Amino acid sequence: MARRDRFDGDFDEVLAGARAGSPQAFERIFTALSPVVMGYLRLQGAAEPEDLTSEVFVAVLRNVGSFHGDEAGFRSWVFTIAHRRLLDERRRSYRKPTPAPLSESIDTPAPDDVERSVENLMGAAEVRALCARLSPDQRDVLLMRLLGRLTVDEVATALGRTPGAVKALQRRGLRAISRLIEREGVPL
Amino acid sequence: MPATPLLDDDAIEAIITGGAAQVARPLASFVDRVRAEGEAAPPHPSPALARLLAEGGAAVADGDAETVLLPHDDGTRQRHNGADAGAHPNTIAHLPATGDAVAARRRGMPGSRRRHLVARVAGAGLAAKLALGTGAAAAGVFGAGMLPGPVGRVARDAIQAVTPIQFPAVDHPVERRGGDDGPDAGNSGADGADGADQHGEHVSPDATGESDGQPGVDGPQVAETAPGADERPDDTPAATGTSTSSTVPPSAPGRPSNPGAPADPGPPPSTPSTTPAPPTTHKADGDTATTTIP
Repeated sequence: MARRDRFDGDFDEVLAGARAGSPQAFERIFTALSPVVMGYLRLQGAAEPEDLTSEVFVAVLRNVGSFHGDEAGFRSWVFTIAHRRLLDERRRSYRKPTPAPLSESIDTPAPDDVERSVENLMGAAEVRALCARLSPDQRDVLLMRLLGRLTVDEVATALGRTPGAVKALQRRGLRAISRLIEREGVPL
Repeated sequence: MPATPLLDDDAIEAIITGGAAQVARPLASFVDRVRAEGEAAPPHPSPALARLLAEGGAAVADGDAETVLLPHDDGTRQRHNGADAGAHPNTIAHLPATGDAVAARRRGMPGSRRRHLVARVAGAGLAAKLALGTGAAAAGVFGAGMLPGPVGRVARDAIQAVTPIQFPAVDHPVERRGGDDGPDAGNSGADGADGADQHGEHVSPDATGESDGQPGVDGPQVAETAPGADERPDDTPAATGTSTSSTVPPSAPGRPSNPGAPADPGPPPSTPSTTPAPPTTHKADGDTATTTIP
């Protein structure tokens, strides 16, 4: 399971090195956070998640000298930059993630084996399809919380919303996922 | 039984943090799959990112500043309109242009970009340097002390003949002889005023006779009692003395005092240039042009 602390307790040292321009520190930051950032961008339907991830970390590393905070704040900052780059890309491309009907990619499971059915059927494509069926705001909140491991307050700051709105969006998003899983033939 | 479990805030937090209740197992599986998307290998970096990762802070100085959002230092958060980062109080509009930051950027940039430019120019052939029209080639070739004066003049003439580069007119000390009665008048190169590298170019007014009406350098006086007095010519001035072999020709270009002596050819006429001459840089104290490479 993904760790909230992706620096193995060495964040302060890594940040100090990055602020001093250490290539090793830069590499450490990229290695620690680029997978989750790319996963976030991919599940958000970015057209070129790898290229966009590189753009995000170019911005992060060029401005790391100006960052002051802890590891949680740094992760929040990185995801904020990632989200803005995503919005920029969407404005440029005017594209939206195309939802794929779940029924086309999921075999009907046995009715009495829910857990195995879900685990077998919930592959990468299915997860992306489920996320694409959410509203953009629900998707933003859920993915930041699940992938970025951000708290409600951190998500609120990154997205410019109140904590109450974030809680409401995550609740509605998870309910939507549950309904989709149920509707598409995966009984709970 | 409700198909969709009741999701209160506590249940949601449990699902998100990984402690999902049994009733929310499918959602927990969904959460696990989402998180698995973030456990892949790091992507291949773009060229710009690869350079940052390889050079670290040395490459940062070459990049553009970014508008980014930062949290408050005290850990508090503030709501803001996410669409307008510029309105957020924590927005950093650009990298801080403080002296420390600038100095840090300069230190962090070990001249990689500057060195690259200089290396490219330095490594370029002479023709390429001349083509730049910056005078850098001239500065490199005709740098102080690299070539003696006469050689430098010949080289400059050659350059001017084949390239659009025009060097400022050389103020040959010989050409100033006509009316120069300044402090250097009569001084030879040994005086050091004209520099050792211009030895031979300067002919003193004493030698030409402009200073005292008598050509030839005034040498030591020959005593009447010296041997050979009877053979000495009558016009040999005892007071001024004259070298028996007057081999120093007056150096007015094209006007030899001795009709049989070869004239100083002087500088060849410049070949008319078919291309506009690039702007040249003049220095007040010499004929070399230098240009600082940014």
